[in-house]
Order: sequence, then structure tokens, then C-alpha cells
Amino acid sequence: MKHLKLLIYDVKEMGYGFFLTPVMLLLLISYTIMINDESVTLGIMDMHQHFVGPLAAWWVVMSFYSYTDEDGGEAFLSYPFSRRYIGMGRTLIFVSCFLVLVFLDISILYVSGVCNDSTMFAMCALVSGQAFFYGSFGFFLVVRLNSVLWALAMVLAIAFVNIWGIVPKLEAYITVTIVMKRSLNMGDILYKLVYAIIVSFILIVAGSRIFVKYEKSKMVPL
Amino acid sequence: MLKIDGVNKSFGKVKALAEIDAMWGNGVHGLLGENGAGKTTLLRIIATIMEPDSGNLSFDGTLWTDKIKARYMLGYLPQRFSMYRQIKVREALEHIGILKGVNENLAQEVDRVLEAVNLKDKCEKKVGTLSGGMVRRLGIAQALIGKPKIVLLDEPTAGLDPEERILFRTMIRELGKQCIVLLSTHIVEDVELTCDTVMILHKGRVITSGEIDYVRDAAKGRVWELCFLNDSDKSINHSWIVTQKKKEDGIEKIRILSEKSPCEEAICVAPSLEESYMWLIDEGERHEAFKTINL
Repeated sequence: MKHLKLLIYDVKEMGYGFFLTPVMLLLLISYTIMINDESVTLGIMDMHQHFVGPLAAWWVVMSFYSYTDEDGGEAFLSYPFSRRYIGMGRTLIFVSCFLVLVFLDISILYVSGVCNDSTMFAMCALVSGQAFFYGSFGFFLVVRLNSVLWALAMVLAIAFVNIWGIVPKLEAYITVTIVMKRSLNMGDILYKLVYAIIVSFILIVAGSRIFVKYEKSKMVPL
Repeated sequence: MLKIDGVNKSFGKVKALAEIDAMWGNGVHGLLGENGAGKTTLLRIIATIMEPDSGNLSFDGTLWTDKIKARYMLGYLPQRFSMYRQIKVREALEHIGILKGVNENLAQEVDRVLEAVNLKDKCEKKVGTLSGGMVRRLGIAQALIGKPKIVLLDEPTAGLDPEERILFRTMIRELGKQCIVLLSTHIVEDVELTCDTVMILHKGRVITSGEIDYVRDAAKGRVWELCFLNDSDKSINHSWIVTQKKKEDGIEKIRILSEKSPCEEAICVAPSLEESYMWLIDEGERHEAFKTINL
């Protein structure tokens, strides 16, 4: 119950910013349904996995604003509540909430006939992997860089690199994505999904360790 | 008793705290020092948000190595306090209550602290709409939630108007009857009017500590008063440390800090805490300079 209350206050604190994620997803769904053309479907699905992933980082990163960017964040750090929950726990909760939205999004696409049985599974797997990776990456960045702005900027930069394939080799390792133009081999998809989950867990654990030992050292020390 | 034993902290080559020892019981205790003296660093170490390089802290047998246990005993108001802005005052305090582990009667506890800081009528307002003074009061309220045994206040009166400052002092004095209150400030008047004891820090070292009267006496026999009928500026020797200058009935009175009488007309007067503080800081500087020369 107390965790739920904390979550509600965290969400309230985001204000209108909280709605950015569902609104963006809604726009993406509308666009996808409007251009329901088989020749562009793969491209749209590709867009989904590229756009939807970074959106997963938004809630996670924004929920740390009071801890990292506000001067008074020090007071939060003096409370006895588990920092593992505030770090790792909240990240997992926000990513899970986001995944629910994504599954809803993909279900709508399925019902509206944009994707078929095989592509639906592939999309679920890929988008989940992307979302989990970006959520964890956002968490790691915000506690490492002590700045919401920098964390978001870096997530967007990586997403940009991902979308435009500027460094395709790096992309394969960092964003753990597969481009849909390649054949949707089930084994390959599962391999990438497991890989994404492992990398994400490493990032979450590393971020959590940083946050547990977090000191307010970026401020004027004396 | 809060016990601090040989605490050291450095930031690179800068020694922020050097061998700090202290023991505080219930009451209001002031930490006085200029900007950069190490007051905030010491409070942050006690607040468990900064690790000392060496030294121990404990309260009634609980060591600060067990941070979670220590945090249950603490209430901390940082120098710059801010809070979730989009939520209401009551919600903000409930949120903090949960984070501070108040599991039972949270609503009553929130009411209690709201009343203590006189914010009950503002409890349905959003935090972002509060004035600076009210945010400071909210800061005190969040520090008081969960009835902490140690309350750390880092410059709580900074930026407040005179009326708010008086209210704060009364509030802090009341608080000192129930728990240990550590008040960090560079406003000597705040310490003089609220604290039972004071510790003066200078460049990370404790220059002196003790009851207010004891520290005030540090400059006894070193404060001199001079009266001038005309403009005193022409008569003031520039080597004097002038602590006060005021005009009464056409006579200009100045107070000087000096080891010996600056002139025949000077009368030795009782020092204020501010003058003793200045004297001790000056003495500390001279001591530092002496040490450097001897190196």
C-alpha cells in the first residue's frame, strides 16, 4: 500500500509530463492504423521499436528529478527508506507500466489488422527488449550523471544513432535491436531478447549500486 | 548523546574537516563559522549523506556505520530545501512520512508537524505555490516527521524576513527541549538567541566550543569603546578592528577589538558573541600564519 502511495505521488509530481508517453504512443498507433499499407508495415514496425524504446526511459528518468537536479534532494537521501526500491524498484515498476501500455498498443495494431500473428509476437519481443533496455539505461545514466537533462539527452542521442543507423555495428551491441528488414527468425529474436534482458539487468544493478552509495558531492562541498 | 569522534573529510587537497570531536545532548547547539568553514560538510556527514574519510559517529550506542538505523533517528533540513512541487503540502508530508518509515498513524503525525510549524491552513495548497518562508517551514516539518532524536538544520533562517526569523527561533527553542538540535549558521544573532552551546569552526577545525557565555567571554578584556564628538572616520586608526559604529545623541561610538587599549580614552566593555567570534577567527588566522612561518 505504501509503495502504491509513493508511486501515486511520484506520478503526480511529473504533472503533465507524465502524459507524454501515452500521448506519443497514441499518436504512433493512430499513424500506424492510418497508413495501413503492407509495403510500409515493416517500416512502421521498425519505427515502433525505435521510438517506443526511448519513451520507456522518460518516466524512469523524470522520477529522479527531485533527487538529482533539485538542491533539496539531499533531504531525500537522509531518509531511511530503501534506496534499492527508489532506484531499482521504481525503475522496474515504471518499465512494467510502460510495457502494459506497449502491449495495449500492439494489441490495438493486431485488432486493426496492421500486424499478423507472427509479426505481433516479434514486435512484442523486440519492443519489450528495447523498452527494458532503455528504461534501465535511463536509470543508470541519471544516477551516474546526476542530471535528468543529461540522461535524457544521452538516451535520445543513442536512439537517434539507432534510428538512423549511423553506427550500425555499435547499434547491434548497444541497443540490442534487429532491423526488421532482416528475416524475423524466431531464434534470433529470442536471442536478442535474452541479450537485452541481461544487459538491462546489469545496468539496473550497476545503477542501483551507484544510487545506494549516492552522495551529494556534486554540490559545493564545504 | 550524539558523539563525534575524530571526524576527518577532504575534498581533493582541501581539508574540509580536521579531527572534529563533539558530544551533544538534548538542546539547541549552534555550529558557527564563515562560509566554507565546514559546517555543511559536518551536517551532511551526520545526516549520512556523506562519508567521512575517518572517524566515528554514534548516538546512544548506535554507530553511523549502520546508516539505515541512524537515518531513523534523523531529521535533516538542508541549506537549500525543495520538495515535490506539483503535490499538496499534506501529500508531500505523507510521502516523506512513508519514506521515513512512519507506519502507524501517519495522518495524525502529519497533522502534528503541520501544527508545529503553523502550516495547517496551507495543507491543501500545492508546494509550488508556497512562499520562501513557508517552504522553509515545510522543510522543518519534514525534518520533524517521525519524531527524530537528532534534528539537523542547515542555515534555516537564511532568506527569511525578520518576522519569520523570530517565529523560527521560537520554534527551534521549543524543539530543543525534546531532542538534539544542531543549527548551522553564520548569523551570530541566531546562535546567541536560540542555542545553549556553540561550536566555532574555522577552515575545518574547531576553534572553540562550549556554552554561549563561555564562548562570549573569549574576547573579555579585548573590546574597547571610544566616543567621538566629530566624525570618527578621521580619527580611526586603520589597523583597528572596528566591530561596531553607531551614533547616539550626536556622539559617535565605536567598538574596537584589540589585545591592548588602543588609546587612553578607550573604555574596556563586555564583548558580544559576535565580537568574540571575530576575535577567535582572527586569532585562528594568526595561529595559521604563525604555523606557516615556522614551517
